[in-house]
Amino acid sequence: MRLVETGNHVAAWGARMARAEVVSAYPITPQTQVIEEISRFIDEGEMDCEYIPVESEHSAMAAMIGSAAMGVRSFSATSAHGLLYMHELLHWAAGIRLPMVMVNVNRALGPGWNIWCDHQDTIAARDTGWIQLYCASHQEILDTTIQAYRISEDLKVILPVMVCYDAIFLSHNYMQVEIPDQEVVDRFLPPFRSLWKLDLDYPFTHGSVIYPDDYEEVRYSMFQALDNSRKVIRTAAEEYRDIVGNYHGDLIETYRMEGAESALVAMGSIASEAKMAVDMLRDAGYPCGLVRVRSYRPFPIEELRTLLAPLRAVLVIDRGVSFGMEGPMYSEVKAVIYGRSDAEVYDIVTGLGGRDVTYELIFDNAEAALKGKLEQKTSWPAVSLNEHHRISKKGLEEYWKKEGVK
Amino acid sequence: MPKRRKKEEEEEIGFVTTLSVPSEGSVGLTGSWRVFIPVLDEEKCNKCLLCWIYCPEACISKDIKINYDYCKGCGICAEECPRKAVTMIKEEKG
Repeated sequence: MRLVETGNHVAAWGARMARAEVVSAYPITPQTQVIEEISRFIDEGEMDCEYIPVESEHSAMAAMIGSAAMGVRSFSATSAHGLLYMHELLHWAAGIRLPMVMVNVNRALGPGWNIWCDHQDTIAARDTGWIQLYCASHQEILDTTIQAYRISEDLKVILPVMVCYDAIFLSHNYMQVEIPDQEVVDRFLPPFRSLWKLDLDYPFTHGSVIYPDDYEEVRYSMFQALDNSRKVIRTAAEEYRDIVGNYHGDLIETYRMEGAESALVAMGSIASEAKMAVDMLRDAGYPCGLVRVRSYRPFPIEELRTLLAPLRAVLVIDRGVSFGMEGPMYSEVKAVIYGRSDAEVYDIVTGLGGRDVTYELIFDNAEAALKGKLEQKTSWPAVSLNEHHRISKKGLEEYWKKEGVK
Repeated sequence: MPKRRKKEEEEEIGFVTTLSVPSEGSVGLTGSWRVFIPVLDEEKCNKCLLCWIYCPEACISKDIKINYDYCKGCGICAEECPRKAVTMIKEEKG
């Protein structure tokens, strides 16, 4: 079946095709359409699922932890401040090893209050133990949500998975999507068989107190599970291609990397724009390619090392920032090729708060880097004071004058 | 100090989680934490079982025997006893 739908409705279709049995979520722009559509599916009898309306995101994740602990396939959706509000529970869900899937619509964090796209929200949840997969198209949102359950429930993994996609660009724009037949998806994704469920006849405690002698092994087990998930993500993507037919890469997706001497590295919808920049760069005589990071956690260490280490130059595009440091992905790309490469590594932080990132901007910065006109550090190429900044500054200056502040 | 682990000694430890099954004394004899010890005067006791209900550590049995291995000396039994049959006494430790 072919639909023209918003990315949010497509995510709802993902939960439906995966036969999620419990959905617990709180509405937040720009995620609201996801749970509206799921509510409609349930109301119209198209989805056999319990929807738990909760009073906050903290409760949404708490209810997910409850349902997953009962051995039920669970789904949630959130964004930005909602993700921050449930941050503590993200650690709980991963720490007690509960398989579940949540989509997060990547939205900038306030203040200033902003409902548009950047990656700061999920980057801030990077070290919670969740697997983080980033999508670049509507079809990929659907396919990744279904694959996410396979990854999450795999016995080598048993961790929650966050499927991330860009606000507005993907969440609200309409695109054509192929919805596979339910029988086909069922062949790819068998029913969830939990390793345990809460049982009155066999009581136990999840996430109990543990002492210094016991704690490190629990964290090490999570660390290894994230490591194991690299192979599981790859296998899930390949089997999905064999059974359902779509493929968007595994931990990474590459574009025109054949014979490349330089590469762009990006995540999410910017990576689609970067493909056009790659075409322009190739036309201008620079053999450049693109690596789109699809899995941010686990980070594609080996894949990036193999592709990037032999290159002359790498330009990372970060849609988030680590204040007091640099673009977060910039640090990580440098880390994986450290000691194994002579590549120059550059970084631009751009597209924050939904600012449009054009292929011309990417092209200009890549060309500047290749001509040695860019420094090997984080730069902010799109920053410039406009009329709004000036008016706000003027207002403050008038206030200072009135108060006699010099 | 634990000795540094060689690379080849790194092992696949598999699934380790914080799921605990209730069992007696899994963290040792918590009775050693006690400062005050509850002492029962059997002549005053009418076996109303309020202490049995209220004891948060399930250290009082239905025949009113106090398990001093795990009693932490919180004093709730003494507080709840309507006949003042339980007295908290400072415990001398050797």
